[in-house]
Amino acid sequence: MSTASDPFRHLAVFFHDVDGLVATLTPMLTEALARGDLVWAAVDDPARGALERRLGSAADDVVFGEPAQPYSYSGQTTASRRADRLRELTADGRAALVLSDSSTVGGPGPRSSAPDFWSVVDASCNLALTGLPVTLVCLCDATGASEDTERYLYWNHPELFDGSHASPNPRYRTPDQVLASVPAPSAPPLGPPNHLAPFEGVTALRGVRRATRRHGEEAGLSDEQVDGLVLAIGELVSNSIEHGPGHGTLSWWTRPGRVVAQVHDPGHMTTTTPGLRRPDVRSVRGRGVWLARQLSDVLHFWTGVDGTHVRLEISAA
Amino acid sequence: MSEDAAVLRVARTSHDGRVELALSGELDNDTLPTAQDEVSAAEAEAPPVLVLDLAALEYVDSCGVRLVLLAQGVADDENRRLAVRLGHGQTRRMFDMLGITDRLEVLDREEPPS
Repeated sequence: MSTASDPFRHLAVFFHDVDGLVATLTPMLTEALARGDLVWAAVDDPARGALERRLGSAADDVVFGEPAQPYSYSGQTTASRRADRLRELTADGRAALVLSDSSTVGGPGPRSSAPDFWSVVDASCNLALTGLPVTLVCLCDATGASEDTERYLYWNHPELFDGSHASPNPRYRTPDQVLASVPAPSAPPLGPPNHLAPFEGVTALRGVRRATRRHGEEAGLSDEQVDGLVLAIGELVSNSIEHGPGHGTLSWWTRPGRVVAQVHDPGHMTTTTPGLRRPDVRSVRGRGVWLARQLSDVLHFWTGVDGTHVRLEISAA
Repeated sequence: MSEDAAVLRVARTSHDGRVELALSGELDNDTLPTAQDEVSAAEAEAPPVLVLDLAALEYVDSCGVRLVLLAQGVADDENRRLAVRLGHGQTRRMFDMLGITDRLEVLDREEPPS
């Protein structure tokens, strides 16, 4: 449910057939369209057809699709991109309603159909979309839902539809609780890096920036992207030094048009979700990782037995 | 200190009741303590207006934001003014991206505080 200070709502609806789904959603859609809200519906063709029939000409104002594509292996990145796009689209003061059927919008590969992938996306959205005038409604086909799907749906949605009314969900868990139970997976393996260098202490930062600039230029990124890459890597390494054990490694997989970098340190993050929530303008600290997310195409944190990893990807514009 | 460590220079000027600190070089976690020491020394003089000029920095990351917001907090607490010069390059873009620019008194390069 939204609160006085947070207009973001995240709801789920279990449905058994398209007619039931459309009956559940129609009142909310009708109200949103009448208010002039922005409405997206990432649904399959049968649901789209049924919605168009039910809404009539009002369906012309529904955008069928997801506001933020593409998905990546990183649920954190998906949530972060969704938040960026919705922040941009609602900057004029309008609210947004997004219907999202994960089985329709798919993902980057076989892993993306796994319930734990979507749990990371949903829990990350609960952080990243905080404060936005957005109502996100996740659609779940009850006929094909596994036990995991059902469990994660309860964990990640503060409200559930019961008929055409939404009610508070007593089984809801905070994003930190969810991500502690179902942590972000490791990024896909890439093989040996082109380059790997250790860093230690804040005096290493300047050298890290110089090397980063060189990698960005060699990959053919634009001047602005290189500046962004230098700032993003600077923030990530600085974060590792300040909040981790003070030393680690920076690895590079660089090829024309694309840079992949990975920071590793042997420490274990105390937060499960760095840099997803937009920093409060009054807060003095805690901006570096959020900034790095804005400056990269993919930014993915995970913790393993050997420590904390963060992978950053940028492709030439 | 490593030979490769970042270098930060702070030039200080005072006139007409304001103290201005012009930073150049690189402002990161390594050099932030130097910048904070300079700001603290200036604050100790309780000038009616303190100006932090970040426009000539070759590199600045979120440490620069921290420096400015801490100084803003002190100025607010002591009923004094803080103004900043951010230029039009990467420093300004970072402050804009973070949504902070509008909360500050931002001066153009040569513009005196009103």
